[in-house]
Amino acid sequence: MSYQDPQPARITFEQWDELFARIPDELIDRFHYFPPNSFSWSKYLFPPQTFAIYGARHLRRLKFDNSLASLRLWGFVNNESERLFRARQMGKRVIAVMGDLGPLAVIVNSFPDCIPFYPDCWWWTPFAMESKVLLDAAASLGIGEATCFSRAALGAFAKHSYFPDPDLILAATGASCDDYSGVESLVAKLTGRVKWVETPLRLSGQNEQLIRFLVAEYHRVVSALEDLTGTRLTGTMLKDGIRRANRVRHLTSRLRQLAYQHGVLPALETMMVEFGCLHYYSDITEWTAILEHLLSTAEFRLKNGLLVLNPESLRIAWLTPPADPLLLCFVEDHNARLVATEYVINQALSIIDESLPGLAGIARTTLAGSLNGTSAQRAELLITQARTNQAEGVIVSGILGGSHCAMESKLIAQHIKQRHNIPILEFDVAPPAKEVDRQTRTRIEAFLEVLRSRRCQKS
Amino acid sequence: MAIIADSEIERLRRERIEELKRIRSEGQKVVGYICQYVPVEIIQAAGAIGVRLARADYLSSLLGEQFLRADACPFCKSCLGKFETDPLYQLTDALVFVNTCDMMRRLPEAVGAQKNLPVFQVYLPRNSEPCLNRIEEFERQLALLRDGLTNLTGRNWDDHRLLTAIKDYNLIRALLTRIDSARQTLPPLVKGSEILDIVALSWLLSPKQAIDLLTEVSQRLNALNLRRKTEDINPELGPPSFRPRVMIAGSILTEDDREVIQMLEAQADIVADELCTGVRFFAGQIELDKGPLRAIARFYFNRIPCAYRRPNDLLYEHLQQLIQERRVQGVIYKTLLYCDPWRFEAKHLRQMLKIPVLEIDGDYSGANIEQLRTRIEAFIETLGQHQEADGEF
Amino acid sequence: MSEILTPRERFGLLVIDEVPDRVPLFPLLTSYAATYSGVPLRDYYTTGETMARCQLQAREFLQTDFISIFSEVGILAEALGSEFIYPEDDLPILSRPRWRTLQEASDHLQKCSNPDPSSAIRHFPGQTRFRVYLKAIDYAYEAIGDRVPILAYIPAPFTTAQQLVEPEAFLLGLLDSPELILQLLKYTTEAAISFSRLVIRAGALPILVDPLASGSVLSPEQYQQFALPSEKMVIDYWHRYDLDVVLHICGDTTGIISLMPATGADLVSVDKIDLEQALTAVGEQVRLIGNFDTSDLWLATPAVIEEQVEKMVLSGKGCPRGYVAATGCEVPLATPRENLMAFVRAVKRAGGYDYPKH
Repeated sequence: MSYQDPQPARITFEQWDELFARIPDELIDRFHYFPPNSFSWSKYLFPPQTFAIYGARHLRRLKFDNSLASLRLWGFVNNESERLFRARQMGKRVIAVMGDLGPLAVIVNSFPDCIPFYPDCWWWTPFAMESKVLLDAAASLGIGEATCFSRAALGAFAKHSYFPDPDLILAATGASCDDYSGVESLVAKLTGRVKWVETPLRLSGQNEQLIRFLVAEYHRVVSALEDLTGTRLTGTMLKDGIRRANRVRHLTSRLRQLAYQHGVLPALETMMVEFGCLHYYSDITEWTAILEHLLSTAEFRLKNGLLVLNPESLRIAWLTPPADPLLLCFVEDHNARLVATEYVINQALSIIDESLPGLAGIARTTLAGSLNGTSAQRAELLITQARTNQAEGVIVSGILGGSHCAMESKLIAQHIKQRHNIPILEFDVAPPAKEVDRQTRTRIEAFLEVLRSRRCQKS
Repeated sequence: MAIIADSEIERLRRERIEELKRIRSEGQKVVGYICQYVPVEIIQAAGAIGVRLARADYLSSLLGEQFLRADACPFCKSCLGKFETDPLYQLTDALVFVNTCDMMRRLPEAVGAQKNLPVFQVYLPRNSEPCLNRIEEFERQLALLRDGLTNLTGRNWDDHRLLTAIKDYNLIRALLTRIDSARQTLPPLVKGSEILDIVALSWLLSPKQAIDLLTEVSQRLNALNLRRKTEDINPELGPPSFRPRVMIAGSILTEDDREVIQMLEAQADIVADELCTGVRFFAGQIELDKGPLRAIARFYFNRIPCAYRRPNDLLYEHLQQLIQERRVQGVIYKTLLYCDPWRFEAKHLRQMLKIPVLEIDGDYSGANIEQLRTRIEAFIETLGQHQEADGEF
Repeated sequence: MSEILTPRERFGLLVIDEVPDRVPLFPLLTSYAATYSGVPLRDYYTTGETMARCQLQAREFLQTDFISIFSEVGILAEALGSEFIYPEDDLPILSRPRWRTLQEASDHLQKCSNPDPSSAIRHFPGQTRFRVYLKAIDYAYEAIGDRVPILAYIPAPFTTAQQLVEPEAFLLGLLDSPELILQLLKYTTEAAISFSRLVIRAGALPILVDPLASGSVLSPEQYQQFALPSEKMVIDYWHRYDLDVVLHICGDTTGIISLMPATGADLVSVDKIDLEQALTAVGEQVRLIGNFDTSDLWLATPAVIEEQVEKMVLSGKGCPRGYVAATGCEVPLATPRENLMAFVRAVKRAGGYDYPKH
């Protein structure tokens, strides 16, 4: 194969088209989702231009890593809606898992030909398309502004055009986000067929009992899947499912370490990698291959001193994923880089203990969820990484009206100040737009200036 | 004619707070709770005095913004502020929370950061389907609460005291239910505001005091009903005219949040409510077919659901039942700003109930009060009046 | 009454072999948009923002499912050196092809191996028409690209080639000098690909139009020898981007309909051919677009149009790969508004599929 990655860089939308012109047809033909199939429609190595034509307008504003592995990532991620429809066409079961962000997908993936996906992740669609279409659809069903952008998922259900009507909807709620629980409730009323699952509150000293409780919840999920598929879940199947999930989580962990400690991958791609742990963008096999490719690229870069980000950049920890990917690009354009993240998905990143019985191992990771416990515990997740990677500042991004943001932000900021005395910037992400709004821009710029001057003073 | 005068309510409240101060100084613990899902019976049986903290105002919500963002629940913000301003809140020796909505789930942490008070957080599964593991887990949580509270009070646990508490609070609920049914008559024998005030007293007073008060109120209603039946009706004047019959539903309506109630009662009768500080607080009875802790767990687990629970279909069933029974003509759906669990239900509620619904929201600031008045007046006018025969009490 | 899907969502389902809420609606509005907006044609095709605004206004009024960025098929030939005149109330007219003979073309092409249409300059009044196209795409894309697909019509290599050489010389060359035709086609194919790269980057979905390859001009054998391979090369290039490719050949395609899928096109837009015949010939292989007669659209009454469109749609819906209700070619400039409205009404009434509603 004649193609070689160029010198690592963050490149623009237009530059990707130039680079794509050099990619040979054989390489485009090589990568397919749902391997080992090789239908023409299952190719996915396409540049951002493709998806921009089909409505993902925001891609034109972003900057991307210029590796082939990253191109695979973007093509694969942007292709997901189509992949879900194709899954149904191929006779696979498409299972919506909502709210728990990681654990239920492991169970679903343990069944043959069952594809889990999180409608929650469609919260990015309004930003990707710079569009209010899904938000307006949600508003017509009763969830208006001043609520989390995850209401886009409700709009997507109503449209039936972003994913096929699921064969089963598993909705996890409990010690989770109210806004999204509201979305789930309205999805239940819309579809009339949601199986509810509890996500318990994490209380000190009660892990073993709560794990037992969760295992009972998961037995019901397993029964529902067995009824749907006509297949009994054996211990071996569940073990294999967990092993595959853990492979993804181990790869993700290593990639995070390389990205955040060494700057070999930009924050945007690393964020997409983290979110891949939720449901592997609906194809665990191919996603695993993409992660392996990314990892070999990252390790090659590290070994050869080829960093994509300036190692002297300001080091930032970021809590709660910015709904708008442009914010990550903005920060990197201003000579800062992410070294620690807490994206509300700790349960998806945690390695499942394979020495435990399957459902218990999964339950343990559920309990480790970002939102299950106190805000102080969540803050600690970030502080640990921030200390290890010497973060100089923390950004806390939220959503106006987002219920857990309103309650947590100050508590988290307080806790971080007490435990790790570094500057904190809090702001709410603005609704979908073509560019970062002026107020947010000014605030981030000013914050970075503060960090720069602190660094100067220290040195 | 009021069944219970405002002055009487104030007096009872004032006297009880003084009494609590005295009892506390003698060593008994006062345990505050906010949510209707907290089993007050366990607090009682542990030897503590349970008082519900369900008050809010704008000043205290502004104080609460030291700890929470401006777009946090106004009730939760006010709760934090009340610890600085309200004598009842300042009397508490410990607090019991149940994780319900996002905001309430984090309130204990915010309180803990502000006050040096023991805080007990009880986990109630959000899912309302009464699967065995969920009831068992809740029962286990209540056992932990029991142990924590007996540690606090220093008293040994005795199931007998729990049975007594269950009996007392069952009676309180039964009396409240009976008093509430006086709203069913045409016109109602008791006002909606009076019901809310009486319910608020019932969670402040001791069980015995509450039972005495409710028995007295019940007797007053009996007398009033008898008087009404035997009063002559002048055939030339025709039967009495009846005002529009409305229901109020929505987010927590605190004891001191009465502006909207007053506006409504100037022109209509509040014949029903779907509030955790109203009907949902006293609906049902604990049935002792299993051990008392299991019975309590089942009862509280299966309460008419707050909107945050999933699914919450039973809430709608109850709403529709009340509308039918009480001949409700319109619903005032009052929510707090940023109260997602209730606000998200508004559209669905409208579709399900099929009678006029007025949605209003607020944050205790009173900023939109005149606008609200106009809207309420217009809403009541559209409801019209019914001419019906007297109902039975 | 508002529909459940946006045009983009509708088209998105169609091209992944899913059933949308109704057939997409595609009267080829193109220059008609200028008439609709009362804008002189010359302003329409020489100012990108004007072109886009006219399209948006027409689309807003009729609630159709696509925006069409297009004036006429000479844009590439003009960029490669042919001369056009710009009447105020008519589309550009070819006044002088670049070369008089095929040999002249061949001699030039042998000397120069890299035609770059993106840098071709043709001033009137200081804007190249490439830039007009790209500006129009950009404007429309920013305005409505989240909800409505923006289509940019790209003249196919064969159509462009015919406008680079004197017509008689070209047509004779099909018989006498096929190798020179093929050489010229290689040049115009590269030009079409270069141009479409710009269009792709601007955010439009390119569609390939090859009116001069219809049965009125070529025999099926000539189509297969000359037009089809160059169409396929452009389409293969667009498939590198996984684009869903529309191939539009107006005029009589009865003789070549069975050949058109071999170009790789995903959607085939037809004009003067019986729709049932097209369905039978290619309905299992490609999605069909078409094909209401544009003369009828112009001259018939609304009632007749509604009746005929309904019949067309009911027939087209049966296409196994999917169907887009369209006119056979561009909507004539003088078409009465009420006729277009009748077309739209009939498509929406007859074109519904069984789609969940809430």
